[in-house]
Amino acid sequence: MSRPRLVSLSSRLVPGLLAIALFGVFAAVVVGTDFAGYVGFPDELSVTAEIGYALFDFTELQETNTESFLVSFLLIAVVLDAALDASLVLATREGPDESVRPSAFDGPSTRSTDDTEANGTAATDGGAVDGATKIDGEPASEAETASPTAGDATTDGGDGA
Amino acid sequence: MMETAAFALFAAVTLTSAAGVVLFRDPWHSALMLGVSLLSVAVHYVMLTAEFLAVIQVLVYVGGVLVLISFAVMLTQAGETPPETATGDGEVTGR
Amino acid sequence: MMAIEGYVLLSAGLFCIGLFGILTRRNALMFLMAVELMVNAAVINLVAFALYHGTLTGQVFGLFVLGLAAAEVAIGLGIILVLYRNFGTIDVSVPTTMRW
Repeated sequence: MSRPRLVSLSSRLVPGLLAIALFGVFAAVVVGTDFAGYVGFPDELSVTAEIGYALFDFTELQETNTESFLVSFLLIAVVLDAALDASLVLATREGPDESVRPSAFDGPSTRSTDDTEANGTAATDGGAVDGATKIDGEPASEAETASPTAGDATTDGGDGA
Repeated sequence: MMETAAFALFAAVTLTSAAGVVLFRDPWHSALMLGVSLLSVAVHYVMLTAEFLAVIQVLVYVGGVLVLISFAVMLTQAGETPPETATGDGEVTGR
Repeated sequence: MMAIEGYVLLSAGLFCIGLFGILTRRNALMFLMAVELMVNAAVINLVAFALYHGTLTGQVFGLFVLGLAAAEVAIGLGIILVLYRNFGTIDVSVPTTMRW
């Protein structure tokens, strides 16, 4: 039923060929480079323990000359916290009096109709569960217009009203 | 010799599934191929004596990133037309 | 021990496949997955040269890159969901509001 289809690349083939040409350059450089001087790890080295020592600056316990990474470790922790907060900020829907819709959808055709027709339902329903109603397959109650883009714009328009 | 054969096998798996990621039209198929590609990259880590990194790769990527991506696929492809009824190159709808 | 050239070539191939995906697709989700492929190519290089030089700095860096990639995916998915909520599509050529 859903056999995988390949995307058609006829219109955007030139930048793709650029990427393949870049691989050609890479391959030429790699083949032309002499990779002698291989060192490798000693046989009975515990790699995981060494990584732990490097992460917590236990330099006297290390058997290889790995650098210490305590500051980077803490910085990565801060960055991950910031990413968590940022994704929450992005996912949180703004209040009913603050439209997140860009002005590109502020056309007079969608704007003037939804304020009069779909005001009450959009304020309650169009807010938090906009994606959920799309998942369930039941159309949003205020989306009278045919195209999905216009329906979405109508939903957000009632939200901002 | 055995190691070279294993490397060739898993390099073929990695590159083929990565090509599948960028060539499949349906993003859900692309996400599945991304899972195959990430798992075979984890096998490469094991062959490079980075077992801890391989475990973290499976945990973080396949267990976290891939689940997030599949959630995004399910959330954003809900109203799209199925791929067998899509006409043209399908790029207009963002596929 | 496999020769290091194989891993560097594999990494270059993976990176170029990711770049191919970014240059040819317009779906924002495909952008995210292609960036994941490119990050993995970079980490393969780091791990291969860590073994090559006999030091673990490359592996620790690979660990950090994995964490950063997870953070990047979290923010990227938030951006994609906001994009879908505001524009009704995740085609990256549709949002032209901030384009000069």
